[in-house]
Amino acid sequence: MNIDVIWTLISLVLTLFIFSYLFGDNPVFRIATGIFVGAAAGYFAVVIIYQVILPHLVVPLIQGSILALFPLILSGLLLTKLSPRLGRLGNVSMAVLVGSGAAIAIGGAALGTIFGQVRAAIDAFGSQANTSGTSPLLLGVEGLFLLAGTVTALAYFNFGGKEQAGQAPARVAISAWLSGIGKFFIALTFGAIFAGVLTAGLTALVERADFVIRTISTLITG
Amino acid sequence: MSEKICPVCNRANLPNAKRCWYCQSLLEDEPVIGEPGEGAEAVEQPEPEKEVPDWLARIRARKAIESMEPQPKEEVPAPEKKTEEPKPVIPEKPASSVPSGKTGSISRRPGIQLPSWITELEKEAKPAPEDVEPFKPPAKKTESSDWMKKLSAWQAEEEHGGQEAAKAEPDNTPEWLTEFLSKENAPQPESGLTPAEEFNQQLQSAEPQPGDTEPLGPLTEDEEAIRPDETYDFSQDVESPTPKEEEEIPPVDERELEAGFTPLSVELPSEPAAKPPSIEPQPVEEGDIDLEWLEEYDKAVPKEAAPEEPVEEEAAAESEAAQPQEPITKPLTPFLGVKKNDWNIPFVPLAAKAEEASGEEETANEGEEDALKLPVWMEQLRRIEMTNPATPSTPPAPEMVPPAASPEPEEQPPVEGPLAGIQGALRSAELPDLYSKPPIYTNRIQVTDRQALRADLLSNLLQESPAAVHTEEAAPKTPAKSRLRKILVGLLVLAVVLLVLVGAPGTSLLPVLYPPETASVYQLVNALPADKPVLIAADFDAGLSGEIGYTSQAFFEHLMLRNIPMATLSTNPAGSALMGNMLSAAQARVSTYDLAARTVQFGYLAGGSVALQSMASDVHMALPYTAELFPAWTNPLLVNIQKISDFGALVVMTDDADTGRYWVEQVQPALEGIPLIVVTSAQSAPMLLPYYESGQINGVIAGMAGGTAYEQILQIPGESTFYFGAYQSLVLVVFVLILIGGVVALVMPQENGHKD
Repeated sequence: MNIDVIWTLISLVLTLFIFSYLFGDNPVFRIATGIFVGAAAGYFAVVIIYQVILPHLVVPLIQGSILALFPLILSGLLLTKLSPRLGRLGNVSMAVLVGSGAAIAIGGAALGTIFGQVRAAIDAFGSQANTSGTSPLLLGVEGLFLLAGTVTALAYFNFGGKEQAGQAPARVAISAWLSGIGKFFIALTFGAIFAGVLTAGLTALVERADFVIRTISTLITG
Repeated sequence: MSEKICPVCNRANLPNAKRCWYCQSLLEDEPVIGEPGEGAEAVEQPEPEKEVPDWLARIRARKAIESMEPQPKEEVPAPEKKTEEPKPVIPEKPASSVPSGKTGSISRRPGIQLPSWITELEKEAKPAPEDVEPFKPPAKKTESSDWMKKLSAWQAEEEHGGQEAAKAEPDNTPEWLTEFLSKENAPQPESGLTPAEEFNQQLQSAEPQPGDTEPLGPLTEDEEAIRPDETYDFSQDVESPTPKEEEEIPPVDERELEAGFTPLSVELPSEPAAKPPSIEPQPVEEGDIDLEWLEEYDKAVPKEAAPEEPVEEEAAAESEAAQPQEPITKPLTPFLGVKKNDWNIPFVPLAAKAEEASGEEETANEGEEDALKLPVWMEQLRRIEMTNPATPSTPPAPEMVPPAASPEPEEQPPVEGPLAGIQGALRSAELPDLYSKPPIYTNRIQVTDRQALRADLLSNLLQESPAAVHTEEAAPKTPAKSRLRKILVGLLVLAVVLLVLVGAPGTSLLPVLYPPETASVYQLVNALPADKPVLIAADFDAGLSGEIGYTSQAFFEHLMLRNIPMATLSTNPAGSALMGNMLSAAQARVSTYDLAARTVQFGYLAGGSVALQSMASDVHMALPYTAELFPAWTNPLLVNIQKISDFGALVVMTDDADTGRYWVEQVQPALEGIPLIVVTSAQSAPMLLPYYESGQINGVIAGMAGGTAYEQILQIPGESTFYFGAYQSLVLVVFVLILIGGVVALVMPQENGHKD
């Protein structure tokens, strides 16, 4: 028997094990998930050794790079996190990871997302939009719609309210009105995301169903 | 010189001591070291050198020399013999030159017969009066008049009180006192100045020498107490200079000494503790002592300062220490070296000790005293130990012991609590003083209106919580309907998929309008230069690899059809392998493309957004090797790549919106105008499309719909188009199910007051 056929049969069996979750949690499903997690962890370990540690740490050390000592030391300190007694030594590595990660994430979010999206909201009314050949009226309406959606969605997340004697704090009138519109845009966004997640799952189902049918037909037809 | 060993503390004492200097026990019956069985004549026999320490040997040698010194008035050395004498240690003043000083020389005890060798040494050691150079006191003595005052004060007291007792006392003068007295009897040079004026003149003219050391005063009780245990021979520093200095020491100038020890500056200490306890009056013969100065001193010193009793009686009174009312003001350091066994003797009541103290002299001579007199604090401590054997027997430090016997009765140890039974524990204050009636507080909470309003809000929230908790708890209890419903929905979806795939494969309603972001990708790929590789980054999981595969297949085919080289990397460990399968599948459809020659795999790039930032800054440093650990940038496809903007385009294949956002935020600013194309799953497309609208992403292929659109644009139907019918069917069924569910939820009454 060809090795590909064996792997195909294994894939078929594991796929059916996963489908068994339709009837609830069962040992077959647990076996399949366990195999998947174990195989993925082993594969990740091999990939990390051969494509991270060797090229980025061992080879530079062999070549005499002093800079490679820093990741070596930090990695060693990070391993001390396994010991409760020496775990504090790993805080240095954690500080480097969290600090550098936070700095990069904040800078990227500010320059790449906030400024980029604000500029895009402004450009919707600018000359750049007219170069697309679309009607200026339509571009203006689209720009207003985007602006309204952005402003009202941001207004929804303003939870400040005015206190009144004997009553619960409530938003001011304009804020309440804007947040109501913002809720509509947020619901549209969540609906789009849900639709995307649903279609992604349906696509995966189609792909697996096709695999099952083709495998079974192959086995039957030989 | 021999010593007596105390039977109690086993310490050495002077041969003429009656009591142990350390523990005050009787020494009469103890044999003398070195001459067991011999009489008093053996006192002068030297000890074997093997058993004598260095410091003791020097002291004995010095004493031997002193004992060889003749009486100043009796013997006058011959001049010719003085020239033969190499270096007298302490030259004696001739008898003719003895002035009418304040001190008298100490004569040898008449009853003691010296050995012959000592007599010969004495004869040789007598210097001639004319050969004796005047003594010049070192400058260090002028710097320390304090100790000298004490010494002279002590000497004055000693002489004043011990004039009469000196006659009766045997010759047991300590060596340091003998030396001191001999120095006083040294000859004085003739001058026109009085001794006091000369001494003051020397004080003014004297300057400290660089090599001089600080002079040491007479040994105090503390020093005397620790002297036997010390290995350092400080007595040499005090009493005798180094051998080199000994040779240079001129004969003692008696006038200078007399001026230096003049009693003008003497202040008698109020405490008798300033006097060494073991020192006893010297046997001074009446004829040797000139008491003229002492008479003057007696006139100058008040009567109360002078001791009224002889020294012997005073010493006896000191040794008693059996006066409970008198606090011990002097340090109790003589007992520092005492071990437990030193004072672990039968207890004798204090009253009996007081009686014994009166007749101590007689009992000491007869050797009948059995008990050792101890200080009051030690007596009390021993009494406590006898009554409470569990108490640790380690003697406390003298500083921690009450200085005198307290007339107050002993406090009983506490009978309860953690310190129960421990003697000496501090008593706590009375319990009634510690406790008082607690204040009474009102149970009415003083709140403001704002606090009351917030409390109401919190109460409302808590009232809503039980319903939510009940919902979470009730969910697992309704499996029958829910499970059946889930099974039915699942079977319906599977049936639809299988029906479409088996019954009508490839049947679909393809869209006529294409998404603009997908059309942009097609235009961008067509515009790519054929010589520049495209960097393709994969970051998706295996669960969505099927969707990503359908979405990207037409895109890869388009690149291969244009024979554009590709460099692939993965920010996900599984991404490289999954993308390799996709490339292989695409290459199977485009056989003209040499996948091995036109692609380079960088492998896995770890680090997330930090690694992306690093790659955008220096792509060579971030990706030094290929997946096969070959140098990446020596590959012919990448020789012209120096930075990330040298690639033809950057393609990001991801199923996570955050990952796509990281690429936009960290790498897109470094692209310098090269297109950024995103191939993504349908679930992350809504979050990434705004970046396309803002121009930060140049093209997007999102989900199976995007892949099918791209195939339609490319006009090469692929798997996406083939399975698009099944996909459309499933979407339709799910849409109908959601619609039905929503209608049912609106129509059906709510169970238990909330949505199921």
